Amino acid sequence: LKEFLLGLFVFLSLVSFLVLVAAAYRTYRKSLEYAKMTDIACTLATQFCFGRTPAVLTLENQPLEGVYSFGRENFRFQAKITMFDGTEIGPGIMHKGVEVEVPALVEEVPAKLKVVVWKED
Amino acid sequence: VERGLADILTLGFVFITLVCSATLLLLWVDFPLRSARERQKQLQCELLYFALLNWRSKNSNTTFPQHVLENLLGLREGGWENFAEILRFWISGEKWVRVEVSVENRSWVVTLGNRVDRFYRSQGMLSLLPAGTGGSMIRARMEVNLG
Repeated sequence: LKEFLLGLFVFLSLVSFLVLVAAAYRTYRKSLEYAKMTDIACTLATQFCFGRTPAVLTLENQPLEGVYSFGRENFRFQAKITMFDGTEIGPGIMHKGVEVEVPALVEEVPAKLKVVVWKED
Repeated sequence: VERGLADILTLGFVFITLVCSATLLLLWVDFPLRSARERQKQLQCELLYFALLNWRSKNSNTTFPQHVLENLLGLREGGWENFAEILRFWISGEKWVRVEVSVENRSWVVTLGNRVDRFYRSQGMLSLLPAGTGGSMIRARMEVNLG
């Protein structure tokens, strides 16, 4: 009985270890995807902010909504500019996704640029 | 006795392996996301630095660092009274921010929030031409820390 219990303990430990590895791998993949979306949001924010003058938003020829293709994957994005006085430029309803908010200027007015990225189904 | 000791060693080894592997896995799983968040904060710090560098008030043509420099040299009084409010608007959600403009042995510092151990720094030497100095360039340093 003692040997059986010992074997059972080792077996259950092995099973729980495998379950742990599987769960960790799943979380790792998810984390990798969120990291990729954060990086895409940062790239888009950089495209908006590093135009003629750094941190001054260039809105010409820059769509505030669209699709960003990364390899075979397609990510959708939305960008919204909030001025210091509360004025907003961009889509009315923002989609849920990975958000990146950076300080910027619209001409001389302090503003914030928020970029939301999510994966297209 | 030997048999009992072997059993205890086996159980102990399995237990320690489980605890160590669980700890390592928990540290490893969100590593990509943590790195991406750090890159994001680095970008925020860079953009805050450049936003401050290029920020001019509506009424005058002077930039923010130039205005601070003129204040430090005693050439101008006041201005940018709502700076802390704007800084708070820019970095909402961040834990700590510190902006410093210094020239020679004088410096102007604004700090918001409590200092954190991990922070990002953007800094640069600026050649500014303050009004009332007879056209001579003055070298100033601007530093932005964001944590």
